[in-house]
Amino acid sequence: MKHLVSGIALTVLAAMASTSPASAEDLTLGFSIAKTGPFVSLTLTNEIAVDMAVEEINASGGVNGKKIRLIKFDTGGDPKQASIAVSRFAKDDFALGVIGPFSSSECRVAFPAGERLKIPQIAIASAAPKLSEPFAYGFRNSINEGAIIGSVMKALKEKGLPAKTAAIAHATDDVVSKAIGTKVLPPLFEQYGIEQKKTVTFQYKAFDVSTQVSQIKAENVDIVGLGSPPEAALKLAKELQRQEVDVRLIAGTPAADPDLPKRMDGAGQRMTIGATFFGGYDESTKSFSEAFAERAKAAGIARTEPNMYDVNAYQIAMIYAEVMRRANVTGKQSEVAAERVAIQAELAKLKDFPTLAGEVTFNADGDALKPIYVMEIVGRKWELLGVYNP
Amino acid sequence: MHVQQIVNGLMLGSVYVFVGIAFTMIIGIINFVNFSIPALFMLGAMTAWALLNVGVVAPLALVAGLLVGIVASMAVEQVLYKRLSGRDPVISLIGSLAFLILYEHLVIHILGSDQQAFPALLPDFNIRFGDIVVGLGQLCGFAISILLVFGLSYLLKHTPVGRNLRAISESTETATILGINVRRHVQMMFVAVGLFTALGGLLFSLNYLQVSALMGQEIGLKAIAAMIIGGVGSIWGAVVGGMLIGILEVTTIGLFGADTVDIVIYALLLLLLVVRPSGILGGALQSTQRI
Amino acid sequence: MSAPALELAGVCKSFGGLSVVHDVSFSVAQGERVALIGPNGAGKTTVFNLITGVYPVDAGRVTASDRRIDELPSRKRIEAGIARTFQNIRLVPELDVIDNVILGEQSLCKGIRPYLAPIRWLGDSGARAQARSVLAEIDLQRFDRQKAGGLPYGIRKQIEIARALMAGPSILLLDEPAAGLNAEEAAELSRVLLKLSDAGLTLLIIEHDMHFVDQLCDHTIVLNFGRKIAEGTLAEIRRDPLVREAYIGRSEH
Repeated sequence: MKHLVSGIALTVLAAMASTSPASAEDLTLGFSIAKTGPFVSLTLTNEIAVDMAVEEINASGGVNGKKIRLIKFDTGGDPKQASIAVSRFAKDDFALGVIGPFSSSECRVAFPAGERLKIPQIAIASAAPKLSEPFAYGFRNSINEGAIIGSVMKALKEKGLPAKTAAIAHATDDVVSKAIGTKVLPPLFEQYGIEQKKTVTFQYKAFDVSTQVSQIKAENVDIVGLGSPPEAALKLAKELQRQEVDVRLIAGTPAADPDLPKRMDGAGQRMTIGATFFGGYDESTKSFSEAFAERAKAAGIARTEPNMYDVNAYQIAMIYAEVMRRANVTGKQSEVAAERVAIQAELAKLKDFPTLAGEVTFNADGDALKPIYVMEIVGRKWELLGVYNP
Repeated sequence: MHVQQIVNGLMLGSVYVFVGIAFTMIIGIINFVNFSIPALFMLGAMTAWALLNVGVVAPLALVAGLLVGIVASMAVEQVLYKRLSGRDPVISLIGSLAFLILYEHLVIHILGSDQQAFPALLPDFNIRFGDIVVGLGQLCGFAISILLVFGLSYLLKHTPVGRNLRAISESTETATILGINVRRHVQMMFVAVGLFTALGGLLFSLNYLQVSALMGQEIGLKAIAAMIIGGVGSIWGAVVGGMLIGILEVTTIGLFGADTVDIVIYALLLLLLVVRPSGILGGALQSTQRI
Repeated sequence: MSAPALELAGVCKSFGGLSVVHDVSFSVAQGERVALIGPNGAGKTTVFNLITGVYPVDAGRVTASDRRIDELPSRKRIEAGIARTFQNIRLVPELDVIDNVILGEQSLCKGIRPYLAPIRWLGDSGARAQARSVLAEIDLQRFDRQKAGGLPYGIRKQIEIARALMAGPSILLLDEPAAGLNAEEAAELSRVLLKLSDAGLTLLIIEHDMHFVDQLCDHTIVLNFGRKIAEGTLAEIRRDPLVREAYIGRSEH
């Protein structure tokens, strides 16, 4: 307990030190960030993206003539910390809204807390079904796996790619991977008239998947639906190559690693995934990726390509700027409660807001609708197969 | 297709054979359950990985992995030997467990606990017999484990050192009085165990291209199961047990999925302990072919 | 006169406060046949264990042919010419008789050859020949390729003697060699030991069978409660009041 308390105190001090002194003129946003914890490989770079967005907004004159000020709180991916973060942002920092938290497990405790305090939160990656539905102040700038993999299926059908028979391979010890394998893929296969012939499972740290691949090989299918983090996807793809199994892997967001084609090193060709960002899409995504890479390199982070969650976080900052503009917020402490309500109302109304990587709309549940980029591995790169609007 | 699955199972099983033999040798000869063995497996692999990572050439990194395995094994002997020859096997068992945890956490402290990708040093070469695919690396691992078993079995049965080890296995006290330098033979055995276990770790990483500070644990547990299923103290028992678990694992994944593997293996182990406590080969080879 | 084959001077040993051997001194001359007798628990086997280095002496000295050996490890004491047999047979049952005999000679195990060379072949052809001649010496060569574990008790006792002889000792310590043998086997053993003695081997024998001792030994040492209580010919010993007292009330031997 003592550790926890002193940890929080340190984080608070660090957060205060890292931001410019509070001024009544600033518009304050909280940022629930996870610099450690279970998703650190996905979350560590979110800060770069949010910083970029806030600097851009402030450099172009801010919002309603006022600068945006960020208060960061490191949750370490821990739900309890995420709930502490939201109440601190609301009660102590007079924040107008919160960027984050990241995961569904954090949202489960932070959303109810934010609802009582009437402060908007926009989650970065949470994709568990229906999680934001009961909460007026809880939004999620992420898309559920069903919509993403559904777009992948749509792309295969449109391009006339072979997909008559399928197998499913999923990790059993990762919640999202298992959900993809058991809840998302089977109904999609049925919907698209694909015969599902076999399901194989593995543990996400398994070192040997030769058996599973031999089973897939025996079924001689066109596609394999994959619910798995990148490491196990890599292992499976290499084993498929070794046993000369010619199939197309299709996967959802857990495998969406920008570096995956390079790490595949020739395996996993034509593996197809859906994501809400594709770096090479247009000029704006390219220049974003370049600026991001520079900052990541300067910070000494190994992965220099932005992932879709970095982009989600960037978009959230941009969305807040837009709705604060529309709601004419002043940032005055006396007005903060009323202005949060106004921001919530604008968020709920947000429709086709143009930002990096496409237009964002929040549906009635508070979940985002935005373009899905379907891409496949060609050589050592992701290549775009198509863009699908929800 | 079933043939391919049996091949997969045998390749997987040969990993367990390596580690199982190390356990069974030390138990057979000085009646010591050396729980530090999974750490030796990991040390060989992690040392090589760390050195490759900083640009050391592959042969040097692999040899260094073997050396670290040997040194780590000798350290266990140095610290625990007096306890081993003493009356209290529990203390030496706990001591070796302490070594396991110490080694693992030293590595976690220095190199981190994440799973790491081991660079592909072997050419990605596969041999095909009709529909059956066998990886070159796997085949090498399998061949080396079989060679190791034949070599050890020859050493124990047909050389003067083997004769001494069998005398030590009968009674360390008598062997000492007969003038056998028991300590030196035991040290030699720990060197051999360090070498072979680290070699097993290296072959594993070359094949499966992944290493981590805790990689020895799951394999160590399955190797112990292999040894018990095959018959404690019998080298051929470790081989039969290891291969059996490999095939069983593969079959279970095929029939019921990955989550049921450990349930099936350890339930079978318990069943076997009830029905045939001495293991599959434990009774059959009783005196002549035990260590 | 040459130095004694074996000499103990003031040897003491206690285990956890219990004194098992106390201030024992005696010497065995070259070529002599000496019996070490005493009631059960008198410390006879402990004396053997102290001589062969199973455990160190607490006090006193042990010398063999003028060489102090009480601080040497067992294998060096064998090199100094001391070999022994055991009260309970300690052979490796799954090894052939000849391999058991070769275990008595450890100078082979040096260098790389012992690891690689097959024993039936190159590994120890010299030792093999020697083991055969030792077995021939005590008429056991017909058993050389059999597993030691399956042989009759009397034969196994003699194999232990062969194993001890393998080291080429100058003194042989025998721990109850006649125990469990029938009269015929005991007579045979006695004949073998006399033959070895004639060839110059010194013998120190723990034995309860007084008939056997009478036939074989020229000198007797008596221990009781870890102390030496008498020494002399068997006739002298039998008259000794202390010895009589030690054995009274016990089973007659």
